[in-house]
Amino acid sequence: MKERLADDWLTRINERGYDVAFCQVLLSKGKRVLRAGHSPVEHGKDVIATSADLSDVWAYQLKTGDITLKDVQKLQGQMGMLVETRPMFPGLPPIFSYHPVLVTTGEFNEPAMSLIKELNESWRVRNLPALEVINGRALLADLLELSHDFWPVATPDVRTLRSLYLVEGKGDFDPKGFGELMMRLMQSSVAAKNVSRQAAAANLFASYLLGPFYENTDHWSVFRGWTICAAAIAWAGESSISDKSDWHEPFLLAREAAQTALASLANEADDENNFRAGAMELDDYTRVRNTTVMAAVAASVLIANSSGKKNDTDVTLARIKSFAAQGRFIYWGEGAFSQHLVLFWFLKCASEDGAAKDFLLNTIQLVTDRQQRDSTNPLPNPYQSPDDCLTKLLSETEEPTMKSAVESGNLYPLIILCARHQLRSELTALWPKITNVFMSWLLVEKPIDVLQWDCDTGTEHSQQFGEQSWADLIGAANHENRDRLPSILWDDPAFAIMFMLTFQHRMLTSLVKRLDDVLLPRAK
Amino acid sequence: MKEMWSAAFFQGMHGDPLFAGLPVRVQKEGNRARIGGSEMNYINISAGGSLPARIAEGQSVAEFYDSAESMGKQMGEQQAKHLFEKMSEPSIVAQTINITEETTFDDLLALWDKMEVRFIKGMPHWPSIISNQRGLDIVRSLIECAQEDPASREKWRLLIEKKQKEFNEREARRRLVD
Repeated sequence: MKERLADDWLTRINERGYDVAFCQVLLSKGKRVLRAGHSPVEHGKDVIATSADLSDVWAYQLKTGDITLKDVQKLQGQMGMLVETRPMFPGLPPIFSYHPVLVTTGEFNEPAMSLIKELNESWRVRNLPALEVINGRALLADLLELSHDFWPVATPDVRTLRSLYLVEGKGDFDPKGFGELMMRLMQSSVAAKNVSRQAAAANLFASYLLGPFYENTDHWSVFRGWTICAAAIAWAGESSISDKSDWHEPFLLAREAAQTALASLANEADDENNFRAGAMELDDYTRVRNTTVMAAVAASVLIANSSGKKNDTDVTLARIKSFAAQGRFIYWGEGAFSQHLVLFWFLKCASEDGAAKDFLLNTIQLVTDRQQRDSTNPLPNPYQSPDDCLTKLLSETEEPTMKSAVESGNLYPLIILCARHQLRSELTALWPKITNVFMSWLLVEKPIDVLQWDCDTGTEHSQQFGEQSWADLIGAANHENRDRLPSILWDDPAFAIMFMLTFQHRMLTSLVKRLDDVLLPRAK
Repeated sequence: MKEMWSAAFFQGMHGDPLFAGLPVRVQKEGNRARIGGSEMNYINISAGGSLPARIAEGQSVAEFYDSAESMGKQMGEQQAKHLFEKMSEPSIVAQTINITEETTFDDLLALWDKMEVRFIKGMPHWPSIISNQRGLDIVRSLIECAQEDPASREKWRLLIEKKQKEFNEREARRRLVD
């Protein structure tokens, strides 16, 4: 099965879809990856890697499918740039041995190889390096070698792997199944003390399983998949006694792939036509897409801001305000709150305090209205996906066999956020209703465990507010809960934003406070 | 098939109208729960059944659903047993009383006095009474007689006033203070 799956994946994948897997192969060969990604300034170099001592530098151009003579002729400009322009990258020494490489997932036919040999000869005469090639067969062998110990053998995992791979690739990503498979893969690495190799395998499996979503440019699913993979690697790394260097590079590869997918989704939002509803699309689905895409755009901006880059946000701001005014966003359940929270932070960063306040208060008002103890129409819990929620909403009403207790998984962090933003009079007005909502949250013994999609151990707390001192609330709101967050979420706010968007059921109070601190430093 | 079997199983488990009306809190993650600061004591319950393994003959539709429902009922009965055990521990939300021919209206008032009473639009919502038919008949008769008896009506009115005051105090505490 493994050869067939990897081969099938390699045949179907597009250039961007095998970046991470390819980089992982390079890491396994002792190279260091300096940059991976497709951008207008890449000059034919999709991936740049070095030897450990920086004496050798490789630049790779990634292609897909078979390369014919005609393709080489067409690619000559890019190949020329790849060979003739030496990479410039902070930290590279002035002198190094340079190796340009053309990679494809298919084969180079004879005439194509013949032309490449002739081009190499002319480059040699000009004292330029020769272009090396890597074909699909070599790539496949490397991929299989890298992961052969780690293929799932237990029936449930094999079945999960198969069902996750055999998807259409358009919105049918199963984050829970994917997260559980990633965790099982990484759990065994902690026991076997081989986090480094298993993290590499996790990246390969994630590449395979996200292939159908790359094919269909379903950036949202690709984004979530890589975030879950990165979280699983970080979980294993921080749970084991491994050195950070054992797992940090694979983690960064997955994290960067997630960020790239988020940026791709944000780029799509530049064109208003991409918000046009497809044929036969219910408005609620369109509003889910609006909410998700605009949260992705807002997250991209916040991530850029957190790394010191400033983006032009006028178009985004205007669109968010217009969508909000026209009711083009939706709360499908408590799972939507993390997206609305990102929109809140975006508006605050854009100094749109009034609009931001409305976002926050609308959310908290909705919870206090719908999650009352006796509510007959509660919001779906944060674990439910938009698809689950809308399907239920549109299905024929069936009398449930069991009456579920009504709770809110996200009310407490929202109250804490209101306190941080000094919304005392608004909270006072809502307080009698707030006290009639059971708030629930998961408390884990080891903070790192929150990186799991589904946590086996830990205590679910369910509690109600009664009479409450504002001073105590402010104290709780400003108290730093560093000990409650894994360091990967504390130290890397950009990943923390991606984590909160992906793990919609992990709107942790400690995480919300940390992001509020980082994104709005003067909010305290 | 599994889904249909599960649906029939839960139908059996929550089939009793009393239990169907009680909200169930489903644990989503972790292995422990604390409700309002108290540790939730999870108790394992199980049910069993046997199915005929006939040669060249599977289960009939009736056997299929009956097996599921029957096991669900067994689970429901065990759940009920534990629930009644819990309810027999006196608290502000549950009290037990042995209803006999000797039970008086004052006994009922004393029982309610120990419990929390909610008021909706100014009207008291007395705690539900769970009993067999005989017990319910006795309670109904005690209430009917009390309504005819000025002394009992006055005692009841005083209890309502007391409970309303307690309720108002509880409601007044649902606030944000300095």
